[in-house]
Amino acid sequence: MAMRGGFPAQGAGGRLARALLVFPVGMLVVFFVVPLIMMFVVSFYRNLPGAGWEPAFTLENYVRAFSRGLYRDRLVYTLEISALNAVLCLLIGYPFTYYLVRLASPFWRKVGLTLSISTLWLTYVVRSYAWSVLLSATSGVGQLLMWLGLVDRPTGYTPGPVATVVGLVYVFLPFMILSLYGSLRAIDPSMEEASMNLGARPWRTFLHVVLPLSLPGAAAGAVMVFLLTMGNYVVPSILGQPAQWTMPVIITNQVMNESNVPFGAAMSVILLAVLGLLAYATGRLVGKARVNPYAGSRVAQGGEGA
Amino acid sequence: MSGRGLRYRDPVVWSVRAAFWIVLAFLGVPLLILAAVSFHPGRFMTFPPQGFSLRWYETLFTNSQWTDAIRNSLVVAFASALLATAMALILALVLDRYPVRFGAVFRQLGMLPLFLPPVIMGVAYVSFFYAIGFSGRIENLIIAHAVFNAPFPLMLISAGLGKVGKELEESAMNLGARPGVVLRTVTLPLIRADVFAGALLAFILSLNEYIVAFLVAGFTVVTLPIELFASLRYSYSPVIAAASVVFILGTAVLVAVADRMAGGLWD
Repeated sequence: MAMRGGFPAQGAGGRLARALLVFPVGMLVVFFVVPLIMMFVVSFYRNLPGAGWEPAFTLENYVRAFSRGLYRDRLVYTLEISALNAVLCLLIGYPFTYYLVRLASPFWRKVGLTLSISTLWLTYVVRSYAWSVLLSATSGVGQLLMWLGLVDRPTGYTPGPVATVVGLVYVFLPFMILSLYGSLRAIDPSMEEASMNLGARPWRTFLHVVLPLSLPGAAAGAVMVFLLTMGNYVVPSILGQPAQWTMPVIITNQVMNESNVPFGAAMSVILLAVLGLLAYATGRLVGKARVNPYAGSRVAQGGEGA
Repeated sequence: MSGRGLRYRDPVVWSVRAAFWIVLAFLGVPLLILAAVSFHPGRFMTFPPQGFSLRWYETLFTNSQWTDAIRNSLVVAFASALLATAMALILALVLDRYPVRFGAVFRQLGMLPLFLPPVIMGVAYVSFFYAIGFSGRIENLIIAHAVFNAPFPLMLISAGLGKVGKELEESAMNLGARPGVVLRTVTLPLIRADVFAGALLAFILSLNEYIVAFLVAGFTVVTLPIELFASLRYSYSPVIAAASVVFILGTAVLVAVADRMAGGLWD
């Protein structure tokens, strides 16, 4: 929207305004573009154990990432658990959001939406931690099962695969709800009424009217959850055992615990390439405007909002 | 109340209604249990809590390990929100009101940090700050959070400028006001709420951010999420739950304020 007018484009004011741009654009170039380039460069450097790195041009970091079964497995696992999480969030989020959207009272609709996405801003650390309490042997589900007489001794489920999946669904479900809310809200209820007045049962109405119309929002939500899960560090590292560690956990361990920044950078480049490829492919599939992977809560505004 | 489209007493309708309440419970119950655990007087978390005590809240606000983390978090969040909002305000104002060559590119550049996984951004900062020999400083974290969260105020301020339109500014100018005066007396007051809401969001995001903070300065600048993460690895004390409750309440209040100021963040 390049609207002209308002302030004079030429003259001292315009020049000053454009000069001010140096600050934000400079910040973005120096502290966003350059670090990313630096990461790419460092991924070709040689790691000196215990002494940082040595500038070089070696492919050994990439060779290591691709040749060791461990890292390949982690990448495949990351893709699998992200896909699983996207499907689970969709299956759980869809009926929920549909019911929410069709609530008759605008007040309760607003309350429901606020409640269901209110955890969105809360740090992943606290949200994962809540589940590690809930799934522990001493304070949560373990005791409940014993009290119900289902088990003899309280057992914990964290850390482990169950806790990881539950935690990921918990953390990313609000994104799915937000994405679905926009597209389900846009469907005019009179379309459903028309379908039912014509004699279609609710189930048929849903299948032939609501579902097709909500598909873009559902797909966008699934893609968003998938990509966000692929980049998440906190949930698998708090709620998972090493078998549930995803690429971000492996990368962070290399950088922080092994002090091997070049290898961490190489794996980051690989992860970024995979994410970019997937975002591009699904973006073409779903329609670009609606896929806003890291926008999170912002989808409502940037993508579909006013 | 089932909605307008669904009037039949259908088993499907009933199961959808049940699913609605189950999901709402799924989202809320973990946080409620955390709140309950935080009042447990014993040294190890237990649910249900055996008794009621505020001792862990007292620990949280008196133990220097926690107060340092709280202070670091507030300093980083405040400074980075200020920086992010300044960047966003200048970018949004100039790109919206003046014809700038490559303006669209600059705007996209400003939004781009939103699309990058934070882990990757963190590794990029590690590479960058280490290469220039400037690692582990609190300034690094402030800059990293500012750049990473700037898209949020940028989006809100741009939306605000779009809503305000240019008619009022043009009238002021036709009446002879100089551009600087128009900016100060017309434009800025009109978008004040959006600017403030954007700053608040950047503040909340910085306060809650873990992985970039950990990678950029995790060993030297311990923020509240980093302290929480570290302590839940080594202990099982209810003080972690107390810290979480403070986090939850603080975030809820700030989001509610930002939501009001921006005139509804979601609708």
